[in-house]
Amino acid sequence: MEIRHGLTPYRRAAPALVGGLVAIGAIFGFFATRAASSGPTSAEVQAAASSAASTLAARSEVDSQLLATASASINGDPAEGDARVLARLDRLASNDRTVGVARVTPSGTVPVVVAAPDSSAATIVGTDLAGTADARLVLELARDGDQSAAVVTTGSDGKPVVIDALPLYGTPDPPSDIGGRRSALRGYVVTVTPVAALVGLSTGRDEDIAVRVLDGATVLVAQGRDLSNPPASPVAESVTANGVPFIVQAWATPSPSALPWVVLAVGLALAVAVAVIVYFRERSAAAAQADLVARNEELALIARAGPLLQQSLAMGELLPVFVVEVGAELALDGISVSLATPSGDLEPVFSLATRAGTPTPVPASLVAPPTSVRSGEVVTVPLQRAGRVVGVLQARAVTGLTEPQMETLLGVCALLAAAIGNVRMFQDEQDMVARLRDIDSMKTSFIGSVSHELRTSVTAIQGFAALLEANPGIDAEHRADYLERIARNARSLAALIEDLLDFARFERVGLTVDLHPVDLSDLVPTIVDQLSSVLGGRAVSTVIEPNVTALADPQAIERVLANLLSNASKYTPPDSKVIVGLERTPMEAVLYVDDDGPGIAPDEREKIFELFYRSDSTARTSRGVGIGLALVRQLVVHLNGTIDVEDARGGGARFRVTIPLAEHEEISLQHPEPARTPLGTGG
Amino acid sequence: MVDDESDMRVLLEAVIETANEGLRVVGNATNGMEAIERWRETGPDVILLDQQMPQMSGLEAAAAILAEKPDQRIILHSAFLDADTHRKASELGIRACVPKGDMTRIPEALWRFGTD
Repeated sequence: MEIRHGLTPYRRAAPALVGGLVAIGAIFGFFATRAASSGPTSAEVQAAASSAASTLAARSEVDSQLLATASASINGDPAEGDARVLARLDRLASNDRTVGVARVTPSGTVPVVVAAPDSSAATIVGTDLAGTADARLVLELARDGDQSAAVVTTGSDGKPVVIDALPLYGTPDPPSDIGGRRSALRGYVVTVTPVAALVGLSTGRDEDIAVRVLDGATVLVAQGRDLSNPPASPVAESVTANGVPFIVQAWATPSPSALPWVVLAVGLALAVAVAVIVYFRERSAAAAQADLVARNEELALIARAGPLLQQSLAMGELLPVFVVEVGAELALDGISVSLATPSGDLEPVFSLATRAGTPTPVPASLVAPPTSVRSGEVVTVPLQRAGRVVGVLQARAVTGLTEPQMETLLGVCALLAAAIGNVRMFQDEQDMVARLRDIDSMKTSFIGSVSHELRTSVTAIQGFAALLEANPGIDAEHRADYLERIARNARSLAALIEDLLDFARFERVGLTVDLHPVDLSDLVPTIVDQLSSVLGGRAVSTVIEPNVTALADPQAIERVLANLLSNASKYTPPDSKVIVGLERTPMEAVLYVDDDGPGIAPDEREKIFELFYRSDSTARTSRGVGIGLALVRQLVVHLNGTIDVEDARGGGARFRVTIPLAEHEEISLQHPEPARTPLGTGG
Repeated sequence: MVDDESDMRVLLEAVIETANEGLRVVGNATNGMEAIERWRETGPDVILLDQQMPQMSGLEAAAAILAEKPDQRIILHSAFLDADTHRKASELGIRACVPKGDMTRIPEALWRFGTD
């Protein structure tokens, strides 16, 4: 069962294995992405440098043509009105270039840009082209040589710009000599181009390549990251544009990419997540499997319990085996089983000592069993059969009971209840068989007793009659004796027949009594008087308390007395004394018959009232068939009274009958009308 | 003559003495124990022994007597004479078993089985 709360080695290792695999993948991803982002090749760097240089050269060529075209469009004369110049230049300007015209001011030699075609270039209007000595020199060289000249300066946005200037002399054909040119100079047509545009750096070149353009040692423009740390020997291209020599440098600046780290971090996080998910999945799978195993074991327990409980019909054999098996399977301690007694109490019949040594107490009341039990709690399960509680099983759940375990416990308890029912049924059956056997043996003995009784009396009557008949001359004394013996045996037969008739009547319709107040003080002596003959010459005396009136039936009282006196005569010597007494207690009339015979052994004082019962000694010593006393008891019960036998004062037996006094009539009348009660159940 | 019933004793004695065939009742007893004592006192030629008696049955008394005197003549007299009683009586050495009933046959039985 340890599997229940843990993982198997495989299941324990699974999260680490799966997580490890994913982590290895993440590390691979890290190196792969880092290799993939190592930056441009040297060829790409070279290509970038060449591209920038050629773009620079090409654009400077375009510039020259542009300047010539612009010059031609205004016939080399910037003197025209600004509007007319602008209209002409407007058609020439392109997006990345500004075309303008500078006029030489009257005051001197300083050409100032006076017109530009679009507003975006308006800031260059007013720019002094000869603001610096270098610029002045370049412009003078251009004037004197009738050729375009370029100067690099800082634009209005602070970024370097290249200004190309073509001298304008006021005529389509420039003067042929330097002096003429100097005097004829009217101004310049200019293009202003950002250096970046000139080298085409703004066209989205690979950002992992840094490119810069140098004018001598001066960096004109640069693009790319990490420009502050150029390598010692970058790829360099020299190019001359508009007569200005530029150097284009390029080098690789691979970006410090975060991707590999992202891949690694995400990968590791994924590995941890996967490991956690796998761990919980495996744990839940292990728990499910453990549950399944436990459930199977519990089902197996139920399956085992059935045959186990069928093995025996003896409670003492069933319970120990069952309790040990169930206790071991469901981790129960101190199991006790109590069974319901016929009076409804619970009586402990078996308990397995707790580890603490204290037995579990029998519950005072029963409640429905819980659906689950916490660790260490005591669980009580009623054992029910056919809707009746036949017992209770109690136990302490050492590790608690889950719902399925509780269901299992209820299942096996249902089987136990059924088994208990079977055991009881079997016991009842055994008891019934024993009872029937007893009754059968009593009937056999009864038939023997009746036969003996009949044979003895009939033999005596026949014998004495034959004697008298054969000897007519017999003397008077013997004759009287024989006749008396004939008469007594005839009475004995009559009494026996009366008993048999009583029995038959009782068996057929039950006893009926007619209860009303009867003055026993008056009735009892009368009956005793009439019955004295059944005592066979034994002396009878009466001890009667006056005015004892009971709720009774005179006929029933007579039958009771007749049987008790007949009983006294059967079991006492012929010279015995018999006393009939009547007393009263606060509630009852007490009628007793004492004799001085051998008395009744204590262990027979109950049995003698059973139908057909004859003790071994009485069966051999006396006449009788075992009906009289059983009949007496039934009569007394119907009179709402009691009968028992005790030792008489003189040493013999006292049969003591109690009957409710008539004063307590209201209590007595509540006794239900006697139904037919078989005599045999009186025992 | 042994019988627990007073009527039977009186009847048997009357029948035997009335028959007056030379038979005489020398003693009687009401149970087995008494029978053995009386037998020792009187030394009768034949014992007429009832089977069903208190304390000690006729067969038990016969066994005790025959153990002491194997050739004592005993006639068992009983209301119930079944095969089992016959067999036991025969094994013990009892001369005859006579059913209770017709008392007039008793003197004849005593002559027949009670003398050599």
